[in-house]
Amino acid sequence: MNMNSNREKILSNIREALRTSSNLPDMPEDIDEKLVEKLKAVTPPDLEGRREQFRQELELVSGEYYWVNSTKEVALIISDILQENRYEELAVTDESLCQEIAEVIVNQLKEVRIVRPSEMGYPERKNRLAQVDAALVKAAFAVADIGSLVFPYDNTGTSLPHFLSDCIFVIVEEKDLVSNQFELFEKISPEKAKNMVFMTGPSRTADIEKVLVLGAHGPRRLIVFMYQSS
Amino acid sequence: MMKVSPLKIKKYISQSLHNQQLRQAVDKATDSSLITRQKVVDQIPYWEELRFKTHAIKKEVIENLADYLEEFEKNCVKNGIYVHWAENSAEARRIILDLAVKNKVKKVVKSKSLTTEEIHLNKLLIENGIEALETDLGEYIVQLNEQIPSHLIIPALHLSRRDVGKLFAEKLGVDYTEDPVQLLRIARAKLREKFLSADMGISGVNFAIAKAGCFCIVENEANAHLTITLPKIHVAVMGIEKLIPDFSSLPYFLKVLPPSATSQKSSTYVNFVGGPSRSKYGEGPEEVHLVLLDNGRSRILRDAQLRETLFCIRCGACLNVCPVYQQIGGHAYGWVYMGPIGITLIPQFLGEATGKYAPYLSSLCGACFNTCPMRINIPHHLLKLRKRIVESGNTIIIERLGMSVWAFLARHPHLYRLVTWFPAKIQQLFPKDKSFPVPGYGKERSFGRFDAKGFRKRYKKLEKEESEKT
Repeated sequence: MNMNSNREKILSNIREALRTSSNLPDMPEDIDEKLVEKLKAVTPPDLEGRREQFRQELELVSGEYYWVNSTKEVALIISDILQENRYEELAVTDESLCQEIAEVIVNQLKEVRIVRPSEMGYPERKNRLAQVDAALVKAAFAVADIGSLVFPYDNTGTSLPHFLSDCIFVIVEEKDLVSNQFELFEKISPEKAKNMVFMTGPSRTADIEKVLVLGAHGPRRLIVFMYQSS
Repeated sequence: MMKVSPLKIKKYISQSLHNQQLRQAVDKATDSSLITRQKVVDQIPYWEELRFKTHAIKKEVIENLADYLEEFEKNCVKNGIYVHWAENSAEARRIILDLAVKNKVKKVVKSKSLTTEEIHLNKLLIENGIEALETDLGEYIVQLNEQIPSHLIIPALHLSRRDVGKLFAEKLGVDYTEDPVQLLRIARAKLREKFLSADMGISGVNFAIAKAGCFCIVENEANAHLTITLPKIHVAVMGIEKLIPDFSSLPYFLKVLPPSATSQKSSTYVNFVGGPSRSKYGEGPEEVHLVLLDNGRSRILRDAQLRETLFCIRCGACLNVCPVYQQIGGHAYGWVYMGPIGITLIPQFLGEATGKYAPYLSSLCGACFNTCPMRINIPHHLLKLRKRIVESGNTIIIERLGMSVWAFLARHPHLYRLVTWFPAKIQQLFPKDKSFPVPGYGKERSFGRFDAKGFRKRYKKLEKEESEKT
C-alpha cells in the first residue's frame, strides 16, 4: 500500500470513528480564572523576587548560581574552576558576551585553549567538542519558577557544547528572566521556538535503584551567571 | 528474547508474587515515587486546575484529530520534515527499515520510545544486520539483559545494583562494581562512542505541536538530544494521539508530566525538533522523518468514552499508585503498556480474546484516576471493557454460570439470604483460619470466611443502637 493510500485510510478511519460525539466531561467554567489567580499568587511581582526564585529552583536541581555585573567577574570565576579541575580547553559560542569573557580568560590563563564550534564543519565539530571538558554558552531566556534555561538554535547556532562537555557555564542576562513558561511562549517567536532546547540543571538519571546520579550523557555540572543588565 | 503475551498473565503474576527481590524493589520504588511526587505537587497550588486544562485541550484535539493531523503534516512538510503514515506495526517497521537500507545505515542509537517497543522495531533492525542500541540507561540495561522494561519510566526497576554490576561485568567485560555512579560512568563511556559513530537516531515523541509543525522530546539524561543531533538521519515515531494544538498549550503539559513521571518540577531537557538543521546550523540531522502510527488508535476513537484512554501522556503515575502493580510489577502484564492505563489499552489494541484478563487486574479503587494528570477515568473504562469481554464470549463457562446464579439470587433477596446462610453454618465445621476450597484460590490467597452474623443483622443492630442513643 503506498503512502497516500495509508494516509487517506487513516484519516478516513478517524473521521468515521469521530462521527459519534464524545461522552466525556467538559471543563468547569471557572478553571481558567482560578488558574490565572493561583499562578499569579505564586509569581514574584518584581525582578528581584523572580531572580531569587530562579536561584532557589536552580540550586534545587544541583545547578550553581552567581549574580554578576561584569564580564571580568565571570571570567575570574570560570578561570578558578578551570584551574581547579585542570580543564585545558573551553568551547565558546559566538555570542559577543561569551567572546568577551573568553578573551579575559585567555589573558589570565595562557594555557587554556578556546575552541570555537562555529569554526568547525561537521563531523569535525562533534568529534572535537566531545574531547572538550568545559563550555561557555549564552541562554536567550531563563525561567524563574523552575530554574530553567532556554537555547534557541537561531541564537546559538549550535547545541553540541551544551551537551558534550562535562561542565557547562551559562550566562543569561537578567532582562531575559521570565516568570514561567506561559510568559516564555508569549515572548519567544514561534519560528525560533521550533528549534530549541530547555535545560534545567545538569543531566541525571535514577535508573539504578532510583539513586540519583548527575552527569548521565550530558554535563555533570551546570554553572549559571545571571548577568545584571545595565 | 522470550516472547511475552497478555494471555500468560496468570503465569507471570505467580512468578512475580514468588519473586521477593522483585516485590521489594517495586515496593520501594513505587513508595518513594509517591512520596516525592506529592512533595512536588504540594508546591503547585493550581495542580487540579492544570489537570482539568490538559484534559480539555486533549479532548478538543482528539475530537478533531483528522483536522489537527492534516494541519500538523502541512506544517511539518513546510519545515522540511518527511511525514510517513503507518496503519499498523508492520507498516511502521517497513518504513523505518527502508529508510535505514536506503541510507546504508549500520548503527542506530535510540532514545526511550514506548511506541518503538509497541511495534517491535529493534528485532527487525537487528535481523537485518543493523545494530540498534538503546541509550536511555534503564533501557540500555534491560536490552543488555534481554528483557522487556518493567515500568513505563524506570525500565530496570526490577534489577538491583548488584544485578546491574554483574550484567555489566559479564556483557561489557568491565570490572565488577555495584556503585551506581561507577556503573553510570561505564555506560556513559560506552554509549558516547556509539552516539558519535551512529548513522541514524530513532526517538519517540512526547508532544507534537500542530500549528508549528514541530515535536518535542522530554528527558533527563541528554541521550535523546545526542540521538537527535549527532547522526545524519533522525526518525521519530509517534502515535497519532500525541498532538497538541500550539505552543501556548504546551506549558500545561510540561507542568504536569515531570511531577507525574519522575517527581520533578521540570525535566532536565526539553528538545524541540522543527526540521533538519545540518545545512542551517552546521550540525544536527540532515534529514528528519516522522512516522505517524495508527496501529489501532483510530479504532479506539470509535467509542465515545474509551477514546479518553488516548489522552495518556505515558507518565507512569498510575503504575506507582496502583495496589495491583505494587504487588506484581510490570512484567506481569505481558505487554509494553502496563499498570492501570495498560489494562485499558491491552484489550483495545490486542482484542478481547488476547486481552481478556487485563481489565480484571484492578481493585477499581480509583487511585489511578485521582493521580492521572490527564484525568482519565480508568476505573469507569475498566468496567466498560469488562462488559465487552463478557459480551464477546471471552470468559470461561463456569464464571458465566456462577455470575448467572448470583444475578438470579441478587434479584431474589429472600433466596439470597437462605443460600448464604448455609455456607456460614457449614464453615463452622472448618478450623478458624480455613475456608472453602474455591477454584482459583490456593496457596497464595484464601477465599475468606463467610460472616455468620451477616450484613443485614449487623445493620439492624446498628440501627437499633443509633435509635436508642437518640
